[in-house]
Amino acid sequence: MPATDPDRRRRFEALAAEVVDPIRRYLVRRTDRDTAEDVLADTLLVCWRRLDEVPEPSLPWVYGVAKNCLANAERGERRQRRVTARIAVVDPPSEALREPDEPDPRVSRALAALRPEEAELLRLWAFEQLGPSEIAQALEITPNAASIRLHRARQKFVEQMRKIDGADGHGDVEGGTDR
Amino acid sequence: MTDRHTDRHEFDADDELRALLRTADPARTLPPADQAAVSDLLEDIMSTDLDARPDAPEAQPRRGRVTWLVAAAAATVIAGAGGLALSALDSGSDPAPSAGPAVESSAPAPSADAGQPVGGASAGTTELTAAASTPGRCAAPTAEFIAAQQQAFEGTVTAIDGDRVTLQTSEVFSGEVGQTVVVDAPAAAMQSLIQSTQFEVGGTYLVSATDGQVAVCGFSGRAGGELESLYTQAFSR
Repeated sequence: MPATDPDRRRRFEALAAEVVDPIRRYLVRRTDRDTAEDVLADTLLVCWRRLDEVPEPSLPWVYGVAKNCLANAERGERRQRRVTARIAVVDPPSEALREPDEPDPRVSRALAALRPEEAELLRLWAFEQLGPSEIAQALEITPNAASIRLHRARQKFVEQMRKIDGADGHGDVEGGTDR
Repeated sequence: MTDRHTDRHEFDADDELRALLRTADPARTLPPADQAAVSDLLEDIMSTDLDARPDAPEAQPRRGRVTWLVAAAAATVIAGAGGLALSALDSGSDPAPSAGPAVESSAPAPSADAGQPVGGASAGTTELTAAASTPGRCAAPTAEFIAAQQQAFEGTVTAIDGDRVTLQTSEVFSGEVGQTVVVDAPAAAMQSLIQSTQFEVGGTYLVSATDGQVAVCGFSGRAGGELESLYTQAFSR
């Protein structure tokens, strides 16, 4: 095993300090807690291996790495079902913490009604607070495409919200998507 | 700023939309990461060999390095399970494999069948061996199987020296296990043992053994993940 040079360690630690929390949140938003912990480790491992390629600012790039690691993990997941019951045993406080202020249920419904790619754009924009050029980096698309698609996704989301409101107004909550 | 129907207006509307979306953020209430666990994770990552696996983030090994952050919490569950198992033994409800008063020296027949000299077994040291596992002959790990093992413990690897892995015992779930455990294996077995469990110095492992033989096929490995649940299941009844 080659002796790791201290400078490399320092650079990695600085990078980790910057990205661990945002990446953790990114993953928790998209998968179960257990997989999130696994994929966080995977993502950091890739960062460590590819430390010399990490651009500045690094976070959007690391989101891209996390996205790929998550996709890999989920492919594996389907092959071998993991025991998710464990989280309930090990980590009950965090589940309990989910209660506080109720999110607007219309938002999740509207997001669910969009195409997955559109919903993902909106998540990157609203949850991760990325701008179009950062989204572009995270999704490995051009900034122009990111900008246009984001704009469109926002419009569709607003339309969905209106539909839901309209449906609710008519007392037709479930399945009234084309009203 | 008389007319609000401008880009500025759209920008404000975007801000509102963003705020609305954020109410549905599943990570809003995520508790902060355990800093100690994060440091462990980083240390673990920085100790990986950069050259060994040429940039293959998609490769299997990552399954092995897993859930450090959760593992910290899981350890307490296991500790509780261990306590339960021990009190069960105390009340005599379970056939303890051996009940010698001294924890020292080797556990039941350390390597009798392997015919290896157990020379150097000092007080408080348990010696185990690992046989080469035949690929394809592993049954799916079950809590029942683990519960039936003569010895089961959690330990941290303090040294890997050729054919020998040394662990410091941190928790005994069943059987008699010394403070220090050494696992000897012929080169081929060690290879498969290391491959299957990714023994690394400083890593914490769950190990079970019978007749001095480590149960390799998915029954021993790094603490955390499914193995941790199996052990919890095995020793909490």
